[in-house]
Amino acid sequence: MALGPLTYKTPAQITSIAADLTGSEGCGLTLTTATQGRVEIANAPADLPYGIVVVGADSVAGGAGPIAAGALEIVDAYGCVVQVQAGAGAITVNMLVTVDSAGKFITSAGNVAVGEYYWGIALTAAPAGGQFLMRFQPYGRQV
Amino acid sequence: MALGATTYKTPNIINKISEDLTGREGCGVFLAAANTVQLATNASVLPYGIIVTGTDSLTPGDYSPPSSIGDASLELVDQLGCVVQVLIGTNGNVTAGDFLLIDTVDADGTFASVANQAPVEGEWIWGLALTDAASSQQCLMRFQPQNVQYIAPPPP
Repeated sequence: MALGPLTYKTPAQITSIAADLTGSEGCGLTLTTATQGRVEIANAPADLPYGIVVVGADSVAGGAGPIAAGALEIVDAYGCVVQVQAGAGAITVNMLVTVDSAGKFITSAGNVAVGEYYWGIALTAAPAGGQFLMRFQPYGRQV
Repeated sequence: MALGATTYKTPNIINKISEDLTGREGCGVFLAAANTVQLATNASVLPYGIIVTGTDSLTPGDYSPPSSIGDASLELVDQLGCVVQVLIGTNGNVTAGDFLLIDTVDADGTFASVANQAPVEGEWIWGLALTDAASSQQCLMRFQPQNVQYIAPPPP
């Protein structure tokens, strides 16, 4: 059975960052509130998931501010599979995960309250501080 | 309006199976372990994807531990939002617009409509039927897993 055509997307323009994202590959990002086109590290499960850093970068002037075109690469398509960083605690296959205070990923068990977000499911296992594949499929906890 | 870039993804390698998947096209699978898929036999397992081309392992009949499969012998749709042909179980008809979940009566990876099998909290809806189908037939489903978090109690 043949597979079908590719999925298309219209990319959202991300043109500035709220802080230096150098070395933040594999961390979760949220859109900075009230600032169109700007992202920052998601440092709490209540932050609305936007995407994952694939290639980090600092701004043109350092710190918060505009970034050079193409400097920052993000996976932001719902359903994409991406390599992410594990925070404290081992990750197991099929684990629903969320972000910690550094934008790294931890188990959602006991860490996601009502109104907060699951970010995706782990497709591979990882030790604390390691890397694993995650399918990016965020949804909010309702009850 | 011009369309944008294609969606890119890092493929997750699936190179082991826990059972013979020959003839299981259209059935749902979950991750039994890293790189290993298994037929979803109840609605509580976390959806991973849909079999497009089934296969047996390189050591047919021996699946413990999960055995390796030939390169590209198994084809899955695992991209969220994809539209894929799925197999309906024996638990009643499906109407376009129904949400589908794993048929727990057949327990063989086939799908049932929520109209015929009421979901319970904690289970997973696998997607939305886009075409009608009779029992044991096929329909198109948009793969959009969602967790059932709350079932409203019946009105007094």
